[in-house]
Amino acid sequence: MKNNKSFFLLLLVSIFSLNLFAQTGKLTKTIEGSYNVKSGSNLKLSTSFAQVEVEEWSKNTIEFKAVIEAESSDKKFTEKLLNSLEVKHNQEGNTVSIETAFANSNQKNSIKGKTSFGYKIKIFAPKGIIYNASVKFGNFKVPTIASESKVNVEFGSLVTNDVKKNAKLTVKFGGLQVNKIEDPTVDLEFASDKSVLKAVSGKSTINIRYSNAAVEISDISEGNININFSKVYLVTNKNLNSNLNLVSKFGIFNNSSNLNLTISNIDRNGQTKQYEYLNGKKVQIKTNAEFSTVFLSNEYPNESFFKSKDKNKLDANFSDLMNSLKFDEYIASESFKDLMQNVQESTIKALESSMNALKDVHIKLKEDLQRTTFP
Amino acid sequence: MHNDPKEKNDRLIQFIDQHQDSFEEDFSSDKVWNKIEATISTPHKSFKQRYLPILTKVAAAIILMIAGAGIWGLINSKSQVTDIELKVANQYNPEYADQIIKFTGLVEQRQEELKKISYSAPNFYQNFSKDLDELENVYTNLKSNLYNNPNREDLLIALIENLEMQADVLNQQLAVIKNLKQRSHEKQ
Repeated sequence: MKNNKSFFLLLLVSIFSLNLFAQTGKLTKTIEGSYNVKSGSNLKLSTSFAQVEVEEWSKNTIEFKAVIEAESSDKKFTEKLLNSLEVKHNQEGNTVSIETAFANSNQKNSIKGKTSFGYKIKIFAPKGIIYNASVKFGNFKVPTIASESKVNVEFGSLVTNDVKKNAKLTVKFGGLQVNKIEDPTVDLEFASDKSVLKAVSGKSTINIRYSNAAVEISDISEGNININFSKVYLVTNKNLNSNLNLVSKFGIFNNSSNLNLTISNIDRNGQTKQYEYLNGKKVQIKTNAEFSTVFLSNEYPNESFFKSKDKNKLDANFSDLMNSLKFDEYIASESFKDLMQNVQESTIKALESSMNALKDVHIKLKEDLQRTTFP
Repeated sequence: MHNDPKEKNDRLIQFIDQHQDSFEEDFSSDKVWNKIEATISTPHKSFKQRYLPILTKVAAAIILMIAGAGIWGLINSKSQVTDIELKVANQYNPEYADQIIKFTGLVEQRQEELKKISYSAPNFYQNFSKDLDELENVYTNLKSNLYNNPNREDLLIALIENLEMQADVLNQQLAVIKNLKQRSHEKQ
């Protein structure tokens, strides 16, 4: 009884210890930096697996605080992993660089079990900083993107309030949310998250591929919008600032706005159609849509327009696939039941046969042993 | 008087009748055969001769069982876990592996469909292939990172999303080509 108590006590202590280890499986470290900058300085960002957030302030300083988290089931490995994760940062002239990196690539090969790591980088910067940013596997939230900035986000979303003139934004496999943007060049490809460009103005070049997106076009003075294999809402809440010329090739155009457009067929088959809105301006928004659905509307689409893009469709497609392969039918069919019956009978027969054979061997061996006289 | 044969015969019958019990006792079939058997030198059977037929049966039964199990395994494992992404996916969450298998199957099926009808719009097919190649290159790149990068779950999710996109892209391309094909038929 006493032994049993000791055993359970030991068991409890072990469980508690394991729990403690599990709690200590996650380790963190913090890296900070601060650089004095002038107005119009550059910030070069190159991050992977980092959530990057910028907050603007009135100081002429760029400061950052990066919290790095590493987690695995092996505490020693977690320590190694955490030690290998770095944030390299420096200043050269007007450019401050912040870069996430592995310190020792040799350690990568010793990955055991479930592991994960991530950065949370908070940057404090003055307004007017020119970004040259590449953010992968993480979101980038920044209040203002200054003129001539270049921002590239992959596998994450770019969320910004105000993008100044001539900035170039590229987003792939993520989302893009902009409240105001002037004279932009935007490439949006394979968007998997909400993508809205509000209050686009000036001379704009917007390329959208394989994405669902909404673009407010009222204040575009001159622009090229290229849409490929996408669903796009062109939103206008008032009269356009320029003419609109939309050519839809192998696609659908739906106008629910207050604007009256003229329609003309460009080819004989009616596969390419041109829609025009003329308001007497010399400039125009030239929109080329191929294999796409374009909505001209006074309102932004519902949230479901962005979220339901792939998932529902793919679920349906998967069902289609299953139906086409007719797995369910086959499993329910008599031939499948017969096959299973045969397999079952063969297995039982084989087992019986082997059991009988083994019995015979056993009897014979027993008899032999009885007959045998040992010296 | 002793030479009379009839008399002799009668006496013999009388003798047999009187000693019938002892005869049966001395010459019972069991005893006789036991004695005969003892005199016959039985040939010595080797282990092989003795057990070979039985062992053959056992071996046949085992082979049959293994073959049955193999067939059963083949029926049940539509997709064997051989790729790195599936191994890692199973390590993290079997649902990830299921999704990879599902979407890979879907992509392969759609690619086959697209190939079959590509003759009706070869130029389109060529252009469409470039888009798909782009996604496939991203997939390959993600996959190559999966082995060395400790942040495997994020990469797995990106891989699954990529496959979903490939499937979606193929669906759209298929729809376009089917539409073109239908229109050309209508024209004819």
